Amino acid sequence: MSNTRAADLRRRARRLRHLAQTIETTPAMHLERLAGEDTWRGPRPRLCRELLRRNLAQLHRAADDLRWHAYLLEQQAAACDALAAR
Amino acid sequence: MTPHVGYDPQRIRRLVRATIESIEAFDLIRSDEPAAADAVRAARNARRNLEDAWMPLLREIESSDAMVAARGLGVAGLRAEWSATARWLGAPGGPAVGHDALLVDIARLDEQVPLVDDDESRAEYDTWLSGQRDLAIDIARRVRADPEFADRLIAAAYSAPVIGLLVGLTDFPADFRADLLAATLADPWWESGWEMDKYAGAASTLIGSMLDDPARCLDVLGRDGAAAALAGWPPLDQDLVAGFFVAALGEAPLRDRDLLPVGYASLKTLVGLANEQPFDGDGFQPGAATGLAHAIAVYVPSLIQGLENEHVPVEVKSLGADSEFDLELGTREEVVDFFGAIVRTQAAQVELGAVIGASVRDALGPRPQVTVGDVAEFAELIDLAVDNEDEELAIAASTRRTSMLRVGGMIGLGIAVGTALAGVSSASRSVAEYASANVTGGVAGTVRADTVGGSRVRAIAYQSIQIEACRRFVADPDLRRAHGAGAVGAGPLRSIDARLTDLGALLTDPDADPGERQRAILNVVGAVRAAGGGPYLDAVLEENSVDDLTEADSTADL
Repeated sequence: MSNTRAADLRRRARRLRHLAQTIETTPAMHLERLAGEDTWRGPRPRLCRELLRRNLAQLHRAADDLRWHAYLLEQQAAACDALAAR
Repeated sequence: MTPHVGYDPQRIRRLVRATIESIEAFDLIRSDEPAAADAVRAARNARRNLEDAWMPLLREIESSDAMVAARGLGVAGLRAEWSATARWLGAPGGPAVGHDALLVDIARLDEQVPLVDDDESRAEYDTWLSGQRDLAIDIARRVRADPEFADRLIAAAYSAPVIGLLVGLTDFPADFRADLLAATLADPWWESGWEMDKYAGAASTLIGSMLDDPARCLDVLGRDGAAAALAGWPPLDQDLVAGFFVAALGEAPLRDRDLLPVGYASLKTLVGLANEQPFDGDGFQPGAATGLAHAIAVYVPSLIQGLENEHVPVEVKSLGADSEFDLELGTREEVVDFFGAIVRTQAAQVELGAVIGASVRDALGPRPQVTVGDVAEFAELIDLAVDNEDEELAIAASTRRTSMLRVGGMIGLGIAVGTALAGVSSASRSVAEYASANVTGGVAGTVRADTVGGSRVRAIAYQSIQIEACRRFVADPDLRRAHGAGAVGAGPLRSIDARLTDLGALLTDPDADPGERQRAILNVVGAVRAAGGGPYLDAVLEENSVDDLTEADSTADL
């Protein structure tokens, strides 16, 4: 029973880590390189870049949070295994 | 010197392609893991930025003369590019550069909003926010002068909630505040952390700024997503949310009867929400539940008509002075669930009970808008809602091993408050007038849940009808004459009046002994019957089929 629960927790942790990786490798992460002043310039493009920077910062924070939650789930899984081994 | 601002079509096309790919990639970021909710939301936010800010500008550039001209070659082509770009940038009606720069500043400022997690950081936040007053004044001036700038700010609401926080610092136009609140509530579902605090702070600031404008509150409530956010987003200031619902659904139609159908349209939305997740399982958030319970008084007369004869669906129509409307609120079962979503909050139970109590007073008063039978019908509906919620909680308690919370314990107190507050002297106050009296918080804040037992709403309503009928008997000589008790002397009437006064004190005392309350009620009813009031009491109870209410738990405690 405990092993099943531990496996479930590890599966969820893997999904969270995978999601974090998906977020950090999303094509938007490279948009800034293509959207520099040599492509477009002026106040409106600057606003777009500013908003994108803000969005990317949010996404990086979210990815960190996902890894933290994944770590917690793995800790719980380890605790389940320890209980089952007694 | 004017800066060079030409565009390379290839670079722009590459950027368009990459932007579209990014939008599509964000579409695929989904997860049903609760811990992933903020990440999914961040992806959605980024997607919206690309779709709403990047793509329109890129499309604009693609279709502008600047791009067409840039395709030319040589000196002539470069000259054409230069003049076309200059024309495009200076085109009348285009955004002023000053506004754009300010929008960039606002986006940066949003990143600097201090995180609040204790009293010290709260003080730092307050100092930081008050330091933005000059900026807020500048923005408000621009909003008043330039509707297009105002629209762009509103469009940026989901990316920069700091705009909502700034609204609290100075006087912004009312329409702008309403539009900004609607935009903020359209998709605010952050569930934790700094982002949530900012969105909730912005929305709460805007809600607080609108409470003295009920018609606009009602307007916002009807916008996309607003009712769901207000009824279901926990981090909003729940006191302000309660006030918002009272203003929108209670005060607005009270001030202007033409707004009653508009209020009903929002009620219909809320009835729908109450039958969906998460509301079907958890009920409305406390602010919404309490505000709705208070405001529902305004709808009781027409709502009760729609409930008659177990109509399926519940169809509400205009009465007397109301402007014309005819609306299907939902099935009877859905309406029951709507009240079920309300009664999970104790303060809302008190409010709902008070509405029943006030309706009883109205029904037996000199200018009734509803009949006693109507109130009995309404009480039965609430009783059913309470039973359903109790049942759901019992199931949840058995499956999740959580403790079961009995719903509805405070409704009795509310009914008591509704019937006892005004006493005989103000029995003529209508249900609608009652809604404008501020019971919220005052009563709910002074009682404890465990001191008022018995949630059998129907039986409690029956008792309150009896008590109110006794009051009317004492107060109205014409009524006594009409029912063959014109000869009753002043002595017995004074005695009944004294017993009613004692009973009123017992009813509004949450610590009173239930048995003592029951005895006091029986004493009053017995004294009225002894004074010749039996035929009147029987007429009230039997002619309105109120006796059906006693099929419920006869030991319920008012």
